[in-house]
Amino acid sequence: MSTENIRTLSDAEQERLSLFLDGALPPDEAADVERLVSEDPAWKAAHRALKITGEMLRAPVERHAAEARFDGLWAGIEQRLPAPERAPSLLDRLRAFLSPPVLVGLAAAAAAAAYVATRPSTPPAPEAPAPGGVAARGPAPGTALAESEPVIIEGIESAGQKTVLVSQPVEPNGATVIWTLDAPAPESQPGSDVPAASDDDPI
Amino acid sequence: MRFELPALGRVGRALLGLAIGAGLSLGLWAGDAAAGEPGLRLKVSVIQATKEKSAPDPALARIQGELAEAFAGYQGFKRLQAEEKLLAGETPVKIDLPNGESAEFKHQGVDKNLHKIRFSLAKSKVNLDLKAPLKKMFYQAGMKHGGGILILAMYIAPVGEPPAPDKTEP
Repeated sequence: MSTENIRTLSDAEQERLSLFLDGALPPDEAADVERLVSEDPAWKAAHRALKITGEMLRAPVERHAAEARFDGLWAGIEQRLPAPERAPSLLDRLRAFLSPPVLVGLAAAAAAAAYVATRPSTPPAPEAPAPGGVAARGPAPGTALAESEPVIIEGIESAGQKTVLVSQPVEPNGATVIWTLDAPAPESQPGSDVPAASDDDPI
Repeated sequence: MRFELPALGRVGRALLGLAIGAGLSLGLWAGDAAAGEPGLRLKVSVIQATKEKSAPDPALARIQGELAEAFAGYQGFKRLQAEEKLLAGETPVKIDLPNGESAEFKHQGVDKNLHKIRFSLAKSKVNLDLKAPLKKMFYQAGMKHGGGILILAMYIAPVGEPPAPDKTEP
């Protein structure tokens, strides 16, 4: 049995051998280490020891790696991650935009709309008078003025052959009559309120 | 295309709110003005008045006394035509009369509690601007027809009111 003493590689040599085994040396240095491993017993023993150690270390890792299951890995990661910040929707932005000052303006608009929608569009209707100046129904409060108001003629245009006369009532509840008469005025005008043409008229 | 809201400060938002409010109010006002009043009922009875006495027309029973007083020279009154029209906005309403004339009514607004109406007789080339209270009967008369004259008995009333004051109907 050989009892040859084999020296131990220095740290620098060990490091260089490790780099060689990792394939991290430049080609010229790798060739040099390869030569040392084949010729120098210390390098050869160290190379063998490192190789065995590496295989021993790699075997369980490879086994565990082969056994490892990556299904649902990303699902798990995503589950643990904080929820990503969602882009605000149009509704979110509108909600943020409609701050109290804007709502005050909109409330003012709503109030104006309510006023426009609910204000009385026609004045209160007066009771119609019955013939002879007697109200058909009892006058409602506040309608007395309307009842007595006559029809007002504001303007008359007659571009043809008609003479227009307006007979206003003497009584508050009398009738307003608009006469359109053929010109010249007829011999006898109907109605007590329309003056009749007469030869006896002084003017 | 992405809809972006402008970045405004507090004052800007307040002004925007007021602007929106003003715009909405203006739109409502304009819409209301365009639509005008909800409408008025215009009732017109076309009556033939003759010097000869005739049996009272039941359709005119409620205004017989008023007719006799306002048209004292006539003794016969007969309703020829009854019209009910809607006066909405400034849309003119036309009523064809039995003598070939046509009467036109156009609502021109409200002054206090009086309704401004332009009344026209097209062929006669007569236009009148009058202001009438609601449910107040007034008359136009004088156009010759059938040996007598035509009387238009007219009044306006709000839409939706109970038909109680229609004196030209029995």
